[in-house]
Amino acid sequence: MNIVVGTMFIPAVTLFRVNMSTNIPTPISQWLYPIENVPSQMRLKENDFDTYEPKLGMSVSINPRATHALVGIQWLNTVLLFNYTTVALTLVALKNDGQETIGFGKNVAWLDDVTNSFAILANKYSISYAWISSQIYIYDSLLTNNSKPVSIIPNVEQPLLLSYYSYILINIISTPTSLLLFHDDGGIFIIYSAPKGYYASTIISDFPLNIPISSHVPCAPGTYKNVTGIVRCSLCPAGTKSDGTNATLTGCADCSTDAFCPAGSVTDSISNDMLDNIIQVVAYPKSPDISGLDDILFFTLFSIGSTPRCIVLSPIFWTLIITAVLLLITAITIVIKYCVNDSKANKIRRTYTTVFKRVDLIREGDMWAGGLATFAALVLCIACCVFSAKYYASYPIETAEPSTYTCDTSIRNAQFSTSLQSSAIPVSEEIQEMIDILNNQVVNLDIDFINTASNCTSNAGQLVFLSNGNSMPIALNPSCNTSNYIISYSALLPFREITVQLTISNLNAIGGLRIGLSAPGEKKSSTITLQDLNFSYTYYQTGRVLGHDIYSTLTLTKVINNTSPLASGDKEIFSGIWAGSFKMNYNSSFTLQSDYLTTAVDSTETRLTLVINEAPYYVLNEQSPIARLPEIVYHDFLFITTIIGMFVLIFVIVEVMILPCCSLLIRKCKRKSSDKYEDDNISHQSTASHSDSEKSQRHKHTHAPVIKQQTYF
Amino acid sequence: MFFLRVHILVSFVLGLCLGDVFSPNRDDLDIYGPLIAINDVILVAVNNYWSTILIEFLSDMDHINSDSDHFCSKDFDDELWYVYAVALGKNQSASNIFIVGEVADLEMSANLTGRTFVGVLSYTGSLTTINCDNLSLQYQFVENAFVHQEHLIMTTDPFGLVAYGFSNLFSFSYTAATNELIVHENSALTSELFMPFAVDYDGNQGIIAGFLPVNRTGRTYNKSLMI
Repeated sequence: MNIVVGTMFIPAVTLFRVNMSTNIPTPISQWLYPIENVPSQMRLKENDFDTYEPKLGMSVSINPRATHALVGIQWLNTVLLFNYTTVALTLVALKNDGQETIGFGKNVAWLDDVTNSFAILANKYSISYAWISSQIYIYDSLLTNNSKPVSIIPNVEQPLLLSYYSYILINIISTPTSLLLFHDDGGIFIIYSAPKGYYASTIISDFPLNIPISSHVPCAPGTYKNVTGIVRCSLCPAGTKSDGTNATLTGCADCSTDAFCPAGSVTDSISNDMLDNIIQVVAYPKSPDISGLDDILFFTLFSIGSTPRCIVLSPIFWTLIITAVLLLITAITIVIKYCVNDSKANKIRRTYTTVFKRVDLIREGDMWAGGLATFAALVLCIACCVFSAKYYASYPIETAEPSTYTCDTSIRNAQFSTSLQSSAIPVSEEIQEMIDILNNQVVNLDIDFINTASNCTSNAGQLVFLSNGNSMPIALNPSCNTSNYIISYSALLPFREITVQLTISNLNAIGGLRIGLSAPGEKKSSTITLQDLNFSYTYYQTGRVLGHDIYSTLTLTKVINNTSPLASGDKEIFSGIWAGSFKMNYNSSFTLQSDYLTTAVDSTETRLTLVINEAPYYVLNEQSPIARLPEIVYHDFLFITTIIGMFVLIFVIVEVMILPCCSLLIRKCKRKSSDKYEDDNISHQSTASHSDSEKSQRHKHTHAPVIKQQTYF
Repeated sequence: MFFLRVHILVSFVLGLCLGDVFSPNRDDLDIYGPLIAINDVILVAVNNYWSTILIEFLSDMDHINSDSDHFCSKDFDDELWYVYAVALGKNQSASNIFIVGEVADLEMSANLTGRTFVGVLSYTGSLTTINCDNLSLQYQFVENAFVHQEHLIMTTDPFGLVAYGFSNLFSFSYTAATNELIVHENSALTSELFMPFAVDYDGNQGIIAGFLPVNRTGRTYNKSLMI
């Protein structure tokens, strides 16, 4: 039969039944692939079928119990799921794996008629049918348009026998519980269904006589399997663990609280505290807002603060206390003078007043009240001297104790500056010496794999550095220690700016990774010190497990502290350290728990690539004292005189302004009282006005000296 | 082997004179139907290069790796046979292995009888103690005259009793017990233009997948296949 030009061939799926009496198959229903869904470059013509083209191969697998059928069309990278009855064929799902390649659905096979799990041979070929890769996708439920496989073969536990067979898989057939793999060179492998708690390992120690088959291996620590089948073991979810000692367990146990228990955990004996990063450098402090010594003295001595501690440590508080006591003494003295006729008490009063007059610095010995005020001033002066002495000693910050002598414990006799300096700019001789020492420091690389069942015996690591595309060994067997499910590798680096690769044979899940550098310090001279190096950074993701190919960068930056001397003539002090800044792409270096089973990694190695480079600048921290000794002495002297002057000023204000006002008020009050008395007696004493006037004048004269006498108390 | 080479040489010369002959690449395992099948009892693989059928009895898993007591092979009756596909019943208790193929070196465009063969390799012995002498091969040729079939597929019921085959020109049913082959030419399921590539059968109903020509509007040309 000839067909017209423009005809194209599309996939067709036909349901048929067999007449049992005649054994003749007859069609029931047919489904045609939507022509609009066939890309133009994939449309087939009659001559494409002149000879059998493997790339057009299709596959069909029926699940009779569920009356479902899987149809794989590798040419269109598509797998179809149909439901069929005695009268109809219905498309349930269409799963397409993209259009860049072909080969998805080269074969399909049901694995369990009850759970509807199935396998798809998902090869990748170019459009011209050049092979790229072979994988088997395992699904645990009916196919949907967005189904994701629960497991992919090959993986670390189920690698393909590539050392014996071709890389190319061309067929998979199920029994249905077990799966037969057929390579294009005739190689055969049977993956037998494994019971709960075990997985079907395709790792075989030697090539069998006839047909290689999988073996049942207990789930690795950190994994579990609660179904029977060929799928691999699943990672324990975050918050649960499995140490792998009891293969009959089909689940994971809960971890204790506060334990580091990410996905795939082996133990809960590692606390979260153990994951803290070790950071040796802290941000250099900012210079205080007030850097003038006068201002510092003023705000320190004349502020009280709000907390009980600040109140107790406040000099002005104690000055007020002394003032209150002095006012009390003054009140007692007045009471004794005017209300107590006891001569003995008055004698004591006179003695006190004499003594206070002697110590009067305020009014130069004129007033015993000035003597009292002198004590208040003395408290402030002593506080000023004590604060100055301690403040002077609070330098540099590296050796200074917390400033417990004042309200603000962070107050220091230091001002700071931090700057980034280009390495290309010539520096002073001292800084250059410090840089040279830093450059010559030999560092040790420390790598810990955390929460893993791996150990040094079975996971010998190999550490190499990459140079011009070649791998040069650093240490064939870097020192290895295993403790508390942490496997630690350590090796001396030949140089600092380096790209190293640590490769370990590993089949177990790894929860976290810690990378650090360490090196001993050195005191080169009294003024130049190289600090001990010991910092580390921990990578972990709660819902993820460390992948098999980890990439991290570490940027090292020199940090140089330059401390100016406190005493004039002394030398500047330098200290230096390397600061590390880690970076990692978590998405590529860690595997999601949900992706762990579907990551088609067949490598049994974990490879960490660490690039250590150096920043083209260095951090220069400079510290200098706010006040040296002469400045402090000078400012203390000024401050003490200021305090005394303040008290003098207070007394002058009292004498000149307050007391005259008080005297005036008292006189006015007295006069009103006298006028009233005179009005009441005017009829009786009308003739005595002159003498009353004289009395009144005399009263005024007698009152005046009294007020004056009060003024000088 | 000498005679085989002579035969191939003669066929090649004839092919040059008369037309293309069927000369499949016997090394390529990715063409035509599946050359391997498995169920819980038997694993069978067809090796067209060596003209043999390899059988591994899987009744005792422990023996698979240790010795060859469970392994048998059966040569083709004719080295010119080229087996397209092999089929096993999924749940079979009887160990019937169906094969379908074509005789090589025949002119492809010639309508010939005895070109396509269907057969069954039956094992009638004990599955615990394997005796390869209990393997017997019986087969039938398609007696109708057909040209070469480039697309020829086969399946069987779950118990491996009857095999069903489909090409774009005919379909067939082959009963193992009676060694009876029935060919259905111009059946409702076959079409000169329908290229079958895969088939599966559950004992009552089956599914065939292939390619069908359609016009620009997506309508098929073959009315018999328009359900």
